Parts: sequence; C-alpha cells; structure tokens
Amino acid sequence: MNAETNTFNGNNGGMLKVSLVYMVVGFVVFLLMGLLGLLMRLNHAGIFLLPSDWFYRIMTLHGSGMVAASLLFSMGGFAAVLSKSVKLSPRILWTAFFIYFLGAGFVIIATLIGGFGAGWTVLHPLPYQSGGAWGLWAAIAMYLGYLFVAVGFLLYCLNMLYAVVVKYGGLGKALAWEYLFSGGRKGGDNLPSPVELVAAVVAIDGAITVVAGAILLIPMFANAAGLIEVVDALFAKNLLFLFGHTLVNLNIYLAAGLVYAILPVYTNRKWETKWPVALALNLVIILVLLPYFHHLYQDFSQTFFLHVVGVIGSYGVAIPAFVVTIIGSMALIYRSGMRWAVPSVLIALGLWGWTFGGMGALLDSTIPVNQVMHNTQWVVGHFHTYWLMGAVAFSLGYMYHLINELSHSEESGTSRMAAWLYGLGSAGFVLMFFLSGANSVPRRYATYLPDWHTYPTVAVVFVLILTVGLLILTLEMLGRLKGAWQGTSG
Amino acid sequence: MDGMLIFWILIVLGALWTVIWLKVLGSKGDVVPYTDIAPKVSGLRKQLTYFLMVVGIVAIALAWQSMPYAGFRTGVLGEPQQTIPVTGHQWYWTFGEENNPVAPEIAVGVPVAFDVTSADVNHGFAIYSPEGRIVTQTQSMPGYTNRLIYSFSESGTYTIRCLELCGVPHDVMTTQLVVK
Repeated sequence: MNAETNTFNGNNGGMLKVSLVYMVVGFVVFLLMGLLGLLMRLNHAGIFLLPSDWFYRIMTLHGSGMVAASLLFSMGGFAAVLSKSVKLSPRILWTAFFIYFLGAGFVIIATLIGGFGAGWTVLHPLPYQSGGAWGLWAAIAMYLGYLFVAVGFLLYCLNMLYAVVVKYGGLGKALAWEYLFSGGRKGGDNLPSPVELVAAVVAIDGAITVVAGAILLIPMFANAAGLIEVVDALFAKNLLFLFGHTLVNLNIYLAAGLVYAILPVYTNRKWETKWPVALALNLVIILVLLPYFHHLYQDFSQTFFLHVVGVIGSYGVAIPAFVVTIIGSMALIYRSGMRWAVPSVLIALGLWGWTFGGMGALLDSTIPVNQVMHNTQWVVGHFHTYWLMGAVAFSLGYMYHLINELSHSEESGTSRMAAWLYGLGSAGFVLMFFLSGANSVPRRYATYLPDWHTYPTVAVVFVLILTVGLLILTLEMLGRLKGAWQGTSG
Repeated sequence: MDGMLIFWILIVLGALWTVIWLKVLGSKGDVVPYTDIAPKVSGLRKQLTYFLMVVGIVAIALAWQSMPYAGFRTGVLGEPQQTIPVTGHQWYWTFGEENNPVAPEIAVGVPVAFDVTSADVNHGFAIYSPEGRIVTQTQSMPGYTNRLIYSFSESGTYTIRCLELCGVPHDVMTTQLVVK
C-alpha cells in the first residue's frame, strides 16, 4: 500500500505496528477480563458459585485489568491517529508497552497467586491488614504492578506531549493559547488539530495523575518497610482517587479523540479546532482533576469545601464534554448522509452511552443522591456504561476501521448487525446494575441475598447477547489482521 | 431520597436523550452542507452551556436542603437526643464505648447521632430499612470519627451493612438495630 490513507501517511508504518499491538493486546485482555466479569455475575445470580476469597481476587483482577486493558486499547488507537500528523517514537512506545505489561504481570501474580483481593481501589490500610487472606508480599506486588503501569503510561504521555510541543514550537502553541486568549482573533493560522489538543491535555493530566500515584506509593512502601508507623487513611484515599478516577477519565478522553479522527471519514465533514473546542479542552486540564472528590462524600471528616468542589467539578467537567464533543459529533452527523458501517454504529452507540452513563454519574455526584447510592451497584452501572458503551465502543470502532483500511477489506451486513447486538447487550447489562443500585444492592459483595438474584440473572442474558456481537466482530478482525499488519509496511 | 425515584429520573432523561439521538440519526438521508449547520450549532452550544449551568446551580440549591453532614442534619432534625458510638472491626460492629459496649435502644422520631469510627481498616456504615433500602450511611474510617445524625420515621428492625470492602468476610459484616 503506497497511497496515503486516513491513517497511513507513508512514514508512520512503524507507529501503526505498535498501535496495532497496543489495540489487539488491549482488546484481548478486555475479552479475558470480561469473562471474569461474567463469572462474577453468574456468582451473583447463584448459577456458578465462587468461594468468597476467589470472588474478591477475581473482582480485583477484573477491575484493575479492565482499566489497564481499556486504557491500552485507547492508547493504541490514539497513537495511530496522532502519528499521522506528529512524529511519535515507536521505540519509546514499545518500551512503554513492555513496562506496562510488566505491571500487569505483577497484578496477575498478586491476585491469582498471592490471593490479593482488596479491589482495584486498594484502600489503605486494607492491603496490609487482610486478616490472613493474603500476605504483605502480595500487597507489595500489587503496588509494584500499579507503579509499572503508571510509568508505562507516563512514558506514553511524555512522548505525545514532546511530539506535539515540538511540532508547534511550545506548550502554549500546542494548547492554542494565543488563539484562545485573544478570543479567536490571533494565532488561528497554525492551530493544533482537535486530536493534537487532546494529546496535549491528556499528556499533562496523565503526568499529574502519575505523580499523585507516586506520592501515594512512597508512604505505602515506607509503611510496609516499617519506616513509618501509620499512613493517614483520608490522605491515602484522596490520592488514590485522584490517581484512579482521573486515569479512567483520561481513558475516555483518549477514546473520544478517536471520534474526532474517524467521524469525519463517515460523514465527509471536517472537525476543526474552533474557539469553543480550544476553550473546552483547556478547561478540561483543570476540571478533570476535580470530580474525584465525589468518591469521598461519605467521608464526613473531609473538609466540606472539598465536597462542594467535588460537586462543582463533577458537574463542570460534563459541560465541555457534552457541549463540545457530543454536540459537535451530533452536528457532524446531522443531515450529513453518514455512511452506516461498524465504526459509525459503534461511535453512535458510544456517544449515546457516554452521555447516558454521564447522566447516571451526575445524579450520583449530587450529595443527597450519593447518600443512598454510594457503594451500591449504581456506581458500577455508570462506569460500565462509560466503558462498554463509551471508551471501548470508540476504541473497538476505531480498531475495526483501521484493520479494514490497512487490509483493504469490506465489511458485511452481519458485522453491522453484530455492532448493534453489542450495543443492545451492553445497554441491558448496565441497566441491571442501575436497577439493582436503585434497590440498594451493594457493590463488592461476594454473596447475594436471594432477593437480589433477579438482576444479575437478567444481566447474564444481555451479556450473552453482547458476547455474540463481540464474537462476530472479533472473528472478522482476526481474519484480516495479517493483511492489516502487512499494510503498515506500505 | 428514594433510589427508585432516581432510577426513574435516569430512565426519563435517557428516553429523552434516545429520542433526540434517533432524530439526529434519522436525519442522515436529508443531506445539507455543513456550512448550513455550523452557525446553528454555535448558537446551540451557547444556549446549552447557559442552560446546563442553570440546571447545575438549581441542583446544588436543592441538594443543599438535604445534605447529610452533621451541621445540616441538626438544622433540619434538631439537636440529637442520643449519641451512639459505633466502631467497625474486621468483621463486626460494636456500639458504645470500647470498654462499655451497649445494645442501643432507639425511639422513632428522635434525632440520634452515630459517632462512627473504625478500629482497623475502612468500613462503610449503611443503615438499611426493614424493607431493605438504604436510609442513610457514612464511612467508618481508622483515625477519624464521622458523626451521622438521623431520625427514624418508622419502627422496625434495621440492618447495618458494611459497604466498604474490608476483607474476605466483608459481605457478612452485618448487625441489627431495633427502633421502637
């Protein structure tokens, strides 16, 4: 393939190879973690009972593994898109990949061999006080896993930031500051594209997030080594959620960047950096760091001011995402004659699901609602909606698009139907979480009361529907993967 | 706040959102240049931003009336008539001081303050109604005491469930409160 395509520019074949590996590995891990999720729902339905210690091990691996998989999936897609306009380093991204997977290995050892089952949130001091369920070494292995994953992500972010800053000759220019602060009157001749802006924003927040995680790990390791006696539980919780909540949000922004890249292909309309786009993405740099406080509403000892910041941050971050990305996407689709294909179906589903999950999150970000929803399945409902029907749908749509483009393949009506099945199955699956949360069913419970069995039983049916959809798409992509790999060589 | 009411609010909002989406997706055959759409989108974005900001401010104002924190609850329910220290342990609850555990007696309609702390790891102190719905909750944290004020409107046996993962037997960390 010598001709330039939507993604291949003649020079970025090496980057596309790395991107494909990121995406394929991220997707495969997503499928494996999904199987663990299915086991948990079967357990809740009383169909396939797991011993409690194994339930929590699986839950911990599912949670942390799914975050890592979905993030890697989006990172790969985003790097492919970005590599068309800026010079990324395949060597750095390969290094980041191996460090990232070293981290994943530690998490697997901690959970499956070490018996670690404190959940992905690793709320201190539970990792060190398991009551005999796992040893100190398993907790340390889990933290090392997080450390390596975070370092891998940091390398990725720094590579993106460096590439965008070099292209535009400074951070301010990479963030379109002259254009932004002049109200759109100056600096409009050399603006970063929306994808490049997302790259700069995610990279900055990614670095901040990793620093927060590192600040948390220092006292954790010092505590384990006996250098300090006590680590404040509230301090640890704040840093943990600043790290974890922000990281999963950045995953969504990376995936949303894929929408900026491929929706124009199917609508024949350009997505340009206009003043609202520059404003929204610059606001996100700050706003995305604030909503994590909503995880601590029920920690009454937290300063009240920070609860208010949590509310304002949670509401505030939704506005640029909705008004710019969602409305911008709808405008691109509206009366465009959009071509229906697997990627456009998945993007339409993803935009719907991202917003619907956001509605569930905004309701739960309201303190009196959180009073009755905190740590129920409602929370699980909103983030599964974000992921399955948001981040993963966007990444899957992009991977399907890229594989078809590089392998010169055409899709079939069956694959479009499979994409809709994925949406239908996902919607029913997440709805059962919302419904059970509304009925006060707790999250992170290994055993369910008989009254709670109906929700996971219905959810399993929807999981089967989404599995059929995923299976069809997976088999189709698998058959084209070799051609796509060859297509990266030009 | 009733969980099912929140669920139905979500469903109604979701249904409205679905109708809007279907309208956008259904318009795809009637093609116009993007230059016809762009100016309208710009205006819509401004209006939506103002609208969402107003919705947010109204939501915060409404929420302010129902904050769960001690100062707010005291303002609504009055000063607590009874204080019950609560401590979470792996994997049980104790009421009363460390050396003087008690079985609390709680009366309907009387504001009660639960001073909730933990002897080991984080726990979640959630009170479930006899019908199985959460009526109120706070976190039980090592090194901190969270004051949860509540007035029970109905008599019956309430169940305390731990809602923060605290180890393998987390889901059996329950106890009961009788309100007469």
